[in-house]
Amino acid sequence: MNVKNKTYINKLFKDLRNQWQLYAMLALPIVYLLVIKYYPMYGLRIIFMDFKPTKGFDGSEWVGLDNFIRFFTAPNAWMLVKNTMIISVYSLFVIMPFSIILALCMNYCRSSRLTSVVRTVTYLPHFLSTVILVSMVYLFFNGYSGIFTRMLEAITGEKINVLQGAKYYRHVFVWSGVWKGLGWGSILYYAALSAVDKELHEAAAIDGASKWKRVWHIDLPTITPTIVVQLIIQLGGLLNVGFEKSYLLQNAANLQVSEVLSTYEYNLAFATGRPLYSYPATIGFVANVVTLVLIVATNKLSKKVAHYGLW
Amino acid sequence: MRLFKQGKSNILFDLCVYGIMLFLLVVIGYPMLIVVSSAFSNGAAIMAGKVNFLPVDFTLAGFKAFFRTPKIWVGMKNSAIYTLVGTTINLVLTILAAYPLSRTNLRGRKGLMLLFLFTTWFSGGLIPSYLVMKDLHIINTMWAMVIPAALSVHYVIILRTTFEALPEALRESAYLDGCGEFQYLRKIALPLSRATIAVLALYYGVYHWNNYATAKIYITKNELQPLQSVLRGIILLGETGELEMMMENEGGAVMLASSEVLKYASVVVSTIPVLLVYPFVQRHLVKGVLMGAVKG
Repeated sequence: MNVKNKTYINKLFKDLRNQWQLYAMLALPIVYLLVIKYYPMYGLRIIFMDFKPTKGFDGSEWVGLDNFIRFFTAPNAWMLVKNTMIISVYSLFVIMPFSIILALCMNYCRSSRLTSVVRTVTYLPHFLSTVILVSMVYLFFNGYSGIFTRMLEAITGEKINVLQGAKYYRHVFVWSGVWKGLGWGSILYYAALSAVDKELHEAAAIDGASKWKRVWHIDLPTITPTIVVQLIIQLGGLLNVGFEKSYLLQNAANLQVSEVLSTYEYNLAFATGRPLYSYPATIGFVANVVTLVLIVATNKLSKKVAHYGLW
Repeated sequence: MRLFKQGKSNILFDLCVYGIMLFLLVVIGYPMLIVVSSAFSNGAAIMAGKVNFLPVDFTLAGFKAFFRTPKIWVGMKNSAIYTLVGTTINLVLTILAAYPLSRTNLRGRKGLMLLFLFTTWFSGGLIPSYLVMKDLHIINTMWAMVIPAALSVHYVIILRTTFEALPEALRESAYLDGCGEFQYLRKIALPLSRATIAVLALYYGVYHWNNYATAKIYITKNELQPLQSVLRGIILLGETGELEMMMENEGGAVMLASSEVLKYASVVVSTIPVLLVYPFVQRHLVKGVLMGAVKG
């Protein structure tokens, strides 16, 4: 036993010495991870405290699960979760089918020129900043002169102010997201479609199958694993509705539909005269844990149903 | 008969494909066209709703107003610094992490990989991260813009995949010639991975240039605000005060119209850097995304 351990340790040290350069390279990234990613996890203990910045970690008192109870019994907790989930699910079930359709079209388009142009145009919005996107929304739906407002007036005869109030908020949020993310989202499906076995298509064509049938019976089944994996990943992010976009589109009038978990967390700590720290941190923690559980659960489900998972 | 039926069905299919593609081209492209046209149009024409396709009463007034606003220059300077410094740090850290992790003989590779991956599943959250930045005394400094997102594990994985694809034989023969890891990385691995690194540089660069949230959380000083924050002020909060001071002799309607053109011009100018880089990297994009999707 002694000899075995000694040989193992010797080999261990030998490897460590020979590979010192690799470890030297990893040093900086690991320091970053520890300080910026892991150290805040240690700071998560404030969810069990009543943290006051003036008192710091050591001076603030421990309150156990008070923050959790506060959140779970808060009258607006359900509103927050509802807003977050509705936007997430709405976005997911709109962007995904359209991305797949676009990918299919690019795959089957007979004109490579058109495909090229469409590709350039549809990928571009992905690189625009959220501020630019929201700016465009504001400019186009401007109550008087916005191009979309005028188009709506031409179609419906009414002067609708889409940005006023809460009525159209979710639609504006989601469809502007479609405009931005449709092209980029289609890349993954396009790559998956390119990997479809050409021979299958040839055989089907010889047998007289129409392109519609070929899409339904060959392409879609082949890219199903890709679709499933994407669904898992995105369901995992269900509670992570983007902070930036929500914050920029929020205003006092639409707050009851626009306030999501991430913006509420931010507002409690940075946008009030009496900042809270422990309470929003608790909310963020709960959201993260639920997300983690969701990812594991959906992965298990997909393995059962489609025999495919992230790991 | 059968062939004829198939022909009809497929022709319909092809027409649908063309139709959808053209429809998307218009729906996605038209807004961008309007933004550009409006930026070059007369403010009054915009307000009157005359700009529907091409610029009306071509003018550069919007751009002039844009470049005459001092806080714009501050914003652009800051964003340029954050983007250059940030992307450099990003690439250095990403390369330093991806290369060792790509070496299959690395002792403790699995554990180290887990250390990296875990940070993508769980995090401390907004508040604890903010408190850490506070303890590091980098709030309201340039470093607050650059350090929080200094490394993306997803991109490390992408680069690691690229390094793994390099032939092992190459490494072995270099080793026999007395080449150490640093040398190999610098002289062989990096040059061969140029395409991936270019794509990552684009991703990181665009992230920094477009970043608003980080500034909203960590920066309150005006002189450190990035361009996106300045833009938000001008376009979404209507903080065109400086412009109004410049046009103090004009009437209210003219000021309103001028601020509209200014907004459109702002959108155009702040997107130019991205537009310049976009064509160069577009051909690498499909491959880059595909690599990102293949994990583990």
